[in-house]
Amino acid sequence: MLKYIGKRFLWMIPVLLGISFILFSIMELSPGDPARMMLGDYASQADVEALRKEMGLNDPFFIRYGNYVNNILHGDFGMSYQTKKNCAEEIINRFPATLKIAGLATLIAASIGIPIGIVSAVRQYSVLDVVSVSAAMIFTSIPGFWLGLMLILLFTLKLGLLPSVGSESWKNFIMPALSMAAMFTATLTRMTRSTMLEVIRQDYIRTAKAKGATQMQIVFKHALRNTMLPVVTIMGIDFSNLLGGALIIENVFGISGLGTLMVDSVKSKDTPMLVASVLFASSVGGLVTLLVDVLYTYIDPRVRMQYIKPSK
Amino acid sequence: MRKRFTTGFALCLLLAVTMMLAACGSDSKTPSAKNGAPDTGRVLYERALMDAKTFDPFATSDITEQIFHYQIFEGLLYETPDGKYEPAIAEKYEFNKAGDEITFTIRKGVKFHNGADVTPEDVVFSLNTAIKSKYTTKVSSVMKVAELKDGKVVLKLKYPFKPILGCLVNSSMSIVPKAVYEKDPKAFAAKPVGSGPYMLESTKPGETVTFVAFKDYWRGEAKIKKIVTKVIKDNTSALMAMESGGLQLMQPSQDYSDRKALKENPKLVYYEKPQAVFFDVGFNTAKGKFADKRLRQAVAYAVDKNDLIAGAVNGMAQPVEAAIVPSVPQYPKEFKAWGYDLEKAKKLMAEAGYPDGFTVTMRIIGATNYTKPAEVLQAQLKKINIDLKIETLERAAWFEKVYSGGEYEITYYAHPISVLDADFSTYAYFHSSEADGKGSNFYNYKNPELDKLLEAGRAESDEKVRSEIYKKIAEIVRDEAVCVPTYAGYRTMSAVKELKGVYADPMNRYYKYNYSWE
Repeated sequence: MLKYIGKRFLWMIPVLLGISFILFSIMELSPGDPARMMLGDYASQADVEALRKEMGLNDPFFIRYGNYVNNILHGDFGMSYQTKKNCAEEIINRFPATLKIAGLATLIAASIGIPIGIVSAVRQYSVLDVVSVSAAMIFTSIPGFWLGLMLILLFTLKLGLLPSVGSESWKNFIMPALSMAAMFTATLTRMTRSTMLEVIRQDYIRTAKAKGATQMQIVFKHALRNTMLPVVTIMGIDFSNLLGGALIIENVFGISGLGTLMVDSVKSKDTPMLVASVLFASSVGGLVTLLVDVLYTYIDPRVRMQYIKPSK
Repeated sequence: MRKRFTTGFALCLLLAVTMMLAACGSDSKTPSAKNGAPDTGRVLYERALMDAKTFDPFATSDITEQIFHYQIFEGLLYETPDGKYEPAIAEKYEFNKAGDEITFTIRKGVKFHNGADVTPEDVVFSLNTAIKSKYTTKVSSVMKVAELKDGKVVLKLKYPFKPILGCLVNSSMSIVPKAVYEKDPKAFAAKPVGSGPYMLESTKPGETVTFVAFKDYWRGEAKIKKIVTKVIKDNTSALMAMESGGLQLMQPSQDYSDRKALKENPKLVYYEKPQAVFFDVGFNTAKGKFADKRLRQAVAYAVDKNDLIAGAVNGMAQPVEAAIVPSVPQYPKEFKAWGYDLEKAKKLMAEAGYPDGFTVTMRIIGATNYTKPAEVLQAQLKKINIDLKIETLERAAWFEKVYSGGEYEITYYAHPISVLDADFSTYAYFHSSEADGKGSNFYNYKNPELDKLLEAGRAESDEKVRSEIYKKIAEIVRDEAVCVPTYAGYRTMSAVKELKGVYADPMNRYYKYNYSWE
């Protein structure tokens, strides 16, 4: 198992190198001069040229990219063109806000989506099933930012219960998390329901029923674990996506997370900051995927057996 | 088996809870809002579109960032809300006879936030740092050097320059403590020390900037003791925060419905003033079809400004006659542009050899400020058979291709200024030394007669004579149809009724020292 985890870590190196190269190339090809952006639209060409030289922007692309990779290997993610602060520091400042929203959204989605999905499958075609499937369809179609604005209208303007912008207290995270959790919950409900429906039609479930197992025993002891594989996969993917930043939700609720940082970096052509933040988000995404893979071995003994050497 | 499964789930749950606790526990000490609305007793909550990337006044030219700097720093002079220049760190100043040297007497008893006195040495250091900086060129390019002479500060200019006082009120010319700045400019950019009415208390990148009043400020402590600036990028969210009481001050967005909502809210007061910028149809006068003056004149006759204002900005602008920002004191008030006359426009088209019209591409920045008026212009120019194709570019690409590169025939753009003086609205845009990508003359217009007038305008000290010079300049620009000035929008501000001293500033320059609670 440890060997597998080690291998996965090693695989992340070329992936991250590839991402950094693609990003560097895209930023190189996109229009706009970071030096001019820093000095302002009306700076003289001579000043812009002097700053370009100072920032090393006149060096050939491969030399700049090589230097950047070399610095990363030495633990230096570079300085932001815009803020002139260490990129790693900036990311660490922004990440907690994103983690709070993503974590809370995942908790909400899992605690609502999975139970409803199970009940829907077990009581297929019941009123609850119809209601939950319809609700899931509606929430899948509602854009998160719109839901966010509606929540502000209700909880801030009408009821005065929650603050609409900022991240001063835990209350600030409720509405953004709910906005992000809506679609996530709907996906989990649908996924849990469909997988559970498949599982409860298997022969071994019929056998369990024939042996006199109760409904609870069948669902929680025999069916749930088999249902969890695709559900955990979806949770991992969605959680990684949320960690990558949710720009629109961050903008609506005035929260400064990774998503805002990345888009601001693109707008200001701040290549070091963009590459560092995307590399960070990719690494976190990779780690979450790895965690999901490790979880498989706990959920499904067949997966675990693949990592156990057969005894001679 | 069951044990392992349970352990796995328990581990996951523990991890999730730990992450949540770790994340949520970090800033619980921050004062929290009460029921979504902060305590309005003494703290002022206001909105900003972005936070300051740097608090080094010599390392930015961005006016949205400079709003923060005006609270922390002070210059030799400051600008009153009605546009007058008053002494600040300088107690008094005197020009030499030639008009190329100013001697400043430094006010005694002014303190920096760290308790140190502001000395003439600090002033000389600050001015020279600003002069050397690449970020301050727009206001410091005319300055040669600052020197200490008999305990006074002498600022030497490259040539006599009348609008110099307007340059000195810009936050790029702030006074900083030499010892602190020199020791570590990077640390200074994060923890600035100024002599202004507010000290920077804390920042949360991308979210809040908090200021507290400086007790030893030389004009007396500010009436509002604490200001929290919240960075809210989404206009609808900002509007809702304002309506719910989460904010007490904000600059309304350009959106008509947002402005209407704020204007009609009985709890709020809406402030408005023409902004120090005008929008114009710009031509590349050096190449392409519009190198022919008659075609430029035809467009000038075909543009209906009132119709454009109604269609592009819902009437929230005033027409501009002369190619000078209307808020500057030298703006020729009686000046008239040619006006809307389709017959004359068609005649000029025929004279230029295009009786049946032509197709031309208008390159603009892809933002509603430019796309909406471009669509109205498209319809207006259709009437003289000019088929306008609109090509939108990303802002940086527009600057690269159109502004610096001259790769265009016709465009629509704002004409902003950094000092409220006609020189800043004309010299950079029409002097031949600024053409061909060297400066702001993206019209690439060159005219020795106009150059002479522009040079005379900045050197002349008599305001009456200057006004006459700028009237002549406006006439040449109109007759040559270098550009077609269309309208100037409004700077706006919305505040709760109990907040006093608020105003809308044409330059977006706000001294919050003037604010107070009723």
